[in-house]
Amino acid sequence: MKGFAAMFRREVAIHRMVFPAAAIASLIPFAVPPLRGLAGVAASEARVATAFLISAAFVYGLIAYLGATTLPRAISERRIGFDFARPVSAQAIWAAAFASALALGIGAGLIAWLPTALAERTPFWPDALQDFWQLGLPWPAAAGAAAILLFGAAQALSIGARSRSPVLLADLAAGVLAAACAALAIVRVGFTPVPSTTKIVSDAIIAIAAAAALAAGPIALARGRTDIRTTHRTLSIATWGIGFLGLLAVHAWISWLYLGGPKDLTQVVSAKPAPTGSWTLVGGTARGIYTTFLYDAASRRSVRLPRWASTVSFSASGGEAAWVEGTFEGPAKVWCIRLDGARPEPKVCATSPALVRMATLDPSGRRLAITREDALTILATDTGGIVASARLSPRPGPTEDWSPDSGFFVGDVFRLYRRENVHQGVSRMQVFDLDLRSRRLEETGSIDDLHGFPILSADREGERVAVVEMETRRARLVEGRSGKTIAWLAAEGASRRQLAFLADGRLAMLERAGSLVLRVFSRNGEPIRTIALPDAEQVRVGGEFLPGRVVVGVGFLTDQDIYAVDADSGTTRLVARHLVPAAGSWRLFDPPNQSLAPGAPGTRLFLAADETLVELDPSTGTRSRLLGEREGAEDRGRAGGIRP
Amino acid sequence: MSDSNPSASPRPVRLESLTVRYGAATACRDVSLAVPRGAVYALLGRNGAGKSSLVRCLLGQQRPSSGRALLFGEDAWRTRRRAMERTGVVPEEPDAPAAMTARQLSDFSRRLYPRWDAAAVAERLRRFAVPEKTPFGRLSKGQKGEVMLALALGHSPELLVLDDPTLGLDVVARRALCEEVVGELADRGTTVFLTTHDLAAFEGLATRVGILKEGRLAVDEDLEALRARFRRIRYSNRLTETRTAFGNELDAFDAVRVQVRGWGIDAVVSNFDEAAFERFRAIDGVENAEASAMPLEEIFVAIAGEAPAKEGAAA
Repeated sequence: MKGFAAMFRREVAIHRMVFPAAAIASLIPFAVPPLRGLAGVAASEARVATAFLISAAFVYGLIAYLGATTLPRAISERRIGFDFARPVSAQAIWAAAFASALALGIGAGLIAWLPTALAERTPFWPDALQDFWQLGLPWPAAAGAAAILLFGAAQALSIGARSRSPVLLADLAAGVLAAACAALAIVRVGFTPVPSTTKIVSDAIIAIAAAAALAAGPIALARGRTDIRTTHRTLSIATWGIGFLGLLAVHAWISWLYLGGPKDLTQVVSAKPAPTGSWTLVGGTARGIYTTFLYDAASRRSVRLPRWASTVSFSASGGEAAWVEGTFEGPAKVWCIRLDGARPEPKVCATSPALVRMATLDPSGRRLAITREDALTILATDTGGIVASARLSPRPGPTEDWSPDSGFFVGDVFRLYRRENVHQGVSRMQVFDLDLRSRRLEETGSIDDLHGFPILSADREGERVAVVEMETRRARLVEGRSGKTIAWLAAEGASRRQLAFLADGRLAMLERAGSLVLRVFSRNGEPIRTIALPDAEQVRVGGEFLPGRVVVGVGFLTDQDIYAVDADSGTTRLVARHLVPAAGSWRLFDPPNQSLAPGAPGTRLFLAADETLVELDPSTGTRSRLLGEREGAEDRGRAGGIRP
Repeated sequence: MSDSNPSASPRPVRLESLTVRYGAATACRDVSLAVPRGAVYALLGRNGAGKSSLVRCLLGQQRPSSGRALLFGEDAWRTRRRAMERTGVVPEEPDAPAAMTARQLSDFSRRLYPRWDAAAVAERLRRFAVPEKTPFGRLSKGQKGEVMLALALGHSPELLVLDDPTLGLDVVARRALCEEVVGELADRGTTVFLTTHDLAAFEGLATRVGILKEGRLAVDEDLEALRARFRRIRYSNRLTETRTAFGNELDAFDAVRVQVRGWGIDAVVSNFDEAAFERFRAIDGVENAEASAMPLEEIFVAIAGEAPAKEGAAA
């Protein structure tokens, strides 16, 4: 310690002239406001900004300069022998050089800042700069890390340049590789919508770089001493060794994050139950990564879906599923899985060089329909062979208002609903039937005069389709094959409208137009009953937990009161609070006919306000937590069920 | 890491098969030597013989490629910091920070050595007439050397390592430096390990000499013994027509250099003894034979200057 103290004092004494230089520079901000080009800027702001720049220049300029000169020059000129001929450790020599650079830089920076700070009564860290700070590190930690990295980088570059060693080429290669590894780590977590994980990784990379700079310098000096080439070689080995080990640890940690299962879910934010059976698509945060699983609530088995999985489709039995993996631009893979096996393993059913807009299983799970921009293809899921395929003509008009294709199987026919591009805000939806036996594609009709994005719901037979326009909220019932309007269910004017077919073919429409009501329509779209519900901002129609009895969520987007509504008698009953029905949460991308069967397990699944997945029996009000932070724990909190 | 002879107190300096390589080039090869306490060891060698590399290894500033250097019985590389508490160093190039004055350097050193004698340092600097308040970088070469010596002696070291300390010094500065070392030796019996080109300056001080030749230690013995076995022998041969041809009459002396002059033969021998010389004089034909002692510088030149070779035609 006495060696460090003596060396530190010596270095500060040698460079003490920076303090009067900073004192002189501190007067510059007071001369700035009258300068040309600063008209319109308040004198006070100009002074503070100038003083801050001068102060930062002193701090980081000195740290960089001293990092590049103090030790590297002494080593290359062998003057470091003077220090090594004294009873001082290499670590103390390095630490003193670093600490003195820090002290000189910070001291000079403060001196340069002080007059302006006193005159303007400004704190040492202008508030405005805090807003620009994006990393999330506390600013002293960030400034400290920057100082360490700057000193280390300046020292390493200077030693490398002075040694004129071929190791410099290896350094360049290692630097590029390390930057790529760091960028890859950010990318691996960067696309997850969980900023805290990205922040942890970015902070860890900064910490690794700082640790490498802090550790490699003393190690290199201790091993190289008066030999610049040995110092350089050791510095490289230590820096990249520590750096790559750290990055390896980061990547290992990220890989571990991606190995999380449903039991690791701390937040469940979406759930889509299969039409029947106990499998559910669950999305949420597990180990800090947004992840989707196929989860079997009965057996607790699970299948992790890839990061870019979308348009998940179940068979009618819930025993098969398919999804598309790929980015918006393509390429894409279509995965299929049999969920009733002992160890469900997904397999690739199809690959596509371009975006797959839709993937829909038939009720048996044996056939899969996929659409690209220019083609509709039906595949056999067990072999991957093409059952039928047809080219689709280009869509007219501009392409900016993208919407997914939609469709479903009706026996041996696949019925495709394909929206033509918008023309002055109005579009039409073409209806095609692809006959799997004749392999002929026929345009059978269209749904015309659509204003904005349409959401489709179909009955189980595919004979009738309910359409709600997102823009106008107009609702109509159309023939599934021709698209011809059977009945208008509602004109525009409501703020919310959601439609769902009941198992017996009736329609339930949740509508908020002044007040919130559930309207029940006959198969032909004739009004049968209107059931009043408490008004709320957000609503959701859930499944039929018993034939003719529907759960409805009323409240906010993620926190609703759950009502059991009897479509036959018109009675309503509050059964739970702080829940949202899981059914219907993927309505936008669901196959139109994939509503839950009455009494299916999925009708009892709810997302709780505390971001857990809850099973609730609407008949009895009993509930239990399935997934989320406290998996399997009995619900004793505010999200309690309400017994009848 | 202790000295290899546990019964004796560790020698201040010991090199064991020390080899230093720089890539394909070898600076020192398999050098072994030991300097007993109180000795003055002069390591001689031509430029590039490996002296500075050897000194850096000895001071723990450079890691040997193989072998090891011991200071006070401990590996100099591993225990450099501890060894430097007992060692004073005067480097070949004065390397103190240029911005610091001699007084500041003394103050700096005071914080590092518990036994620092600032008054003695100041007194030495006064004797050397070195200005205390002039930055080191502005001092003359001689003054820098004097400051370095004053700093090296400031903590009364048990071992003083001088790496060519008189290089570039004028006669006055050289003499002052040597006198200071002599005084230190007289006062404290400090062990001295020095490398030098200035053989005359240190001939009176050295008790033992090592000569590095092309990285190898060609000589390592007491100075008196070295002097005793080296002689210059001059003679002529009346049996030969030219009086300058010679045969194997010098074999008994291990001639390291034989030169033919106009008047006869001029040989430097490394294994001289009086009895053998008397037998040499009695050889038929050898005339005017005389043997003279040699100064260290001539011995050094004979050993390190050229490869031993016989010149002229054999008789």
